Amino acid sequence: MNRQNFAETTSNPVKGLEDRPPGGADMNNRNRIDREVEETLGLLNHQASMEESPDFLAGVRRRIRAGEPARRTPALFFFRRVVVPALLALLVVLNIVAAVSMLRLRRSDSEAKLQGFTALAKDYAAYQADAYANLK
Amino acid sequence: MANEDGIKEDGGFLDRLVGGDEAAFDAFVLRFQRKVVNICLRFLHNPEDAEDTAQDVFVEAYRALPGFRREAELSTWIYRIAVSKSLDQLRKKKRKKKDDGGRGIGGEELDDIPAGPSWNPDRRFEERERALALQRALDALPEKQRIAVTLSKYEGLGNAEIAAVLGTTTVSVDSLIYRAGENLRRILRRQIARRGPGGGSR
Repeated sequence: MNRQNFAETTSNPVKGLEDRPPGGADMNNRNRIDREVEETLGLLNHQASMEESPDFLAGVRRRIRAGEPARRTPALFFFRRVVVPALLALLVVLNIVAAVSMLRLRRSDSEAKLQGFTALAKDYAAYQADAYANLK
Repeated sequence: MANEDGIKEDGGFLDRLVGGDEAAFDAFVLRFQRKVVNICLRFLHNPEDAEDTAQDVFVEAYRALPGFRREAELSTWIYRIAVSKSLDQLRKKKRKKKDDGGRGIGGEELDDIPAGPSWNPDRRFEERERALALQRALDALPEKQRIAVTLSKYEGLGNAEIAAVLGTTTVSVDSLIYRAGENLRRILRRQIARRGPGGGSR
């Protein structure tokens, strides 16, 4: 279907009757409305179009550049693609090292505490044994 | 092979375009600029908005080109982006107007509607009123009917191209255009009957 045959192929006078003005509008009125409808629909094929703007391409390029500043500026590109990921990786490694050291420290600390407690218990047992011997 | 828009969609050009070749992209923009701007204009009814949205269309195309799968024609692909962006823009405008508690779409944009070639002021006013009535009727159509009739009547796209843009069949496009015509007639008939002979549209 093309522009030319739109009016013919979509026109259906019988189907459109129920949409016509109520109250028994006379034939002249109906004809006028139908004529105006067709004239208005005729505009579909005669709408003016916009001319090409000479700055259009420059505008598109400007928007593309504005949307990708890092890709265009080497310093920013280096910062975003190299420095930031390296810093993040370093941060992760440091966190892991700190966590492992903390676990080791706690473990050695609890071992020392246990050894101290064992020694204390032995001393106490020896003291109790001495005291018992003296009583006898 | 060159398509109907005259751009060579051979493997070499597409490779360069998809590969980010700036000269190929410039050629692509220059080739489709007019059509894309006009498609946007048909939906937005405002030249500034249309150009603004059309530039966004090409920016989006630039970003999406590396993923272009070559299943569709380049022209269909860019028209699809243009329609989608225009409808998004239109929804934003409608939402904004609703939030502002403002008037319906089109009311304040009467001056932007092309009035036709007549030099007679009365005739020009009448043509402008008709253009506004047609715009309102088009705005009132269901979305797919509106896209189909806009691309077919204003932009002269074939049914196969419209089917590719809408992701449907040519038979379905035929039906959409037919129903759009019926609906446009019904809406216009109501508008004209309400207005009465020789009256303004508002």
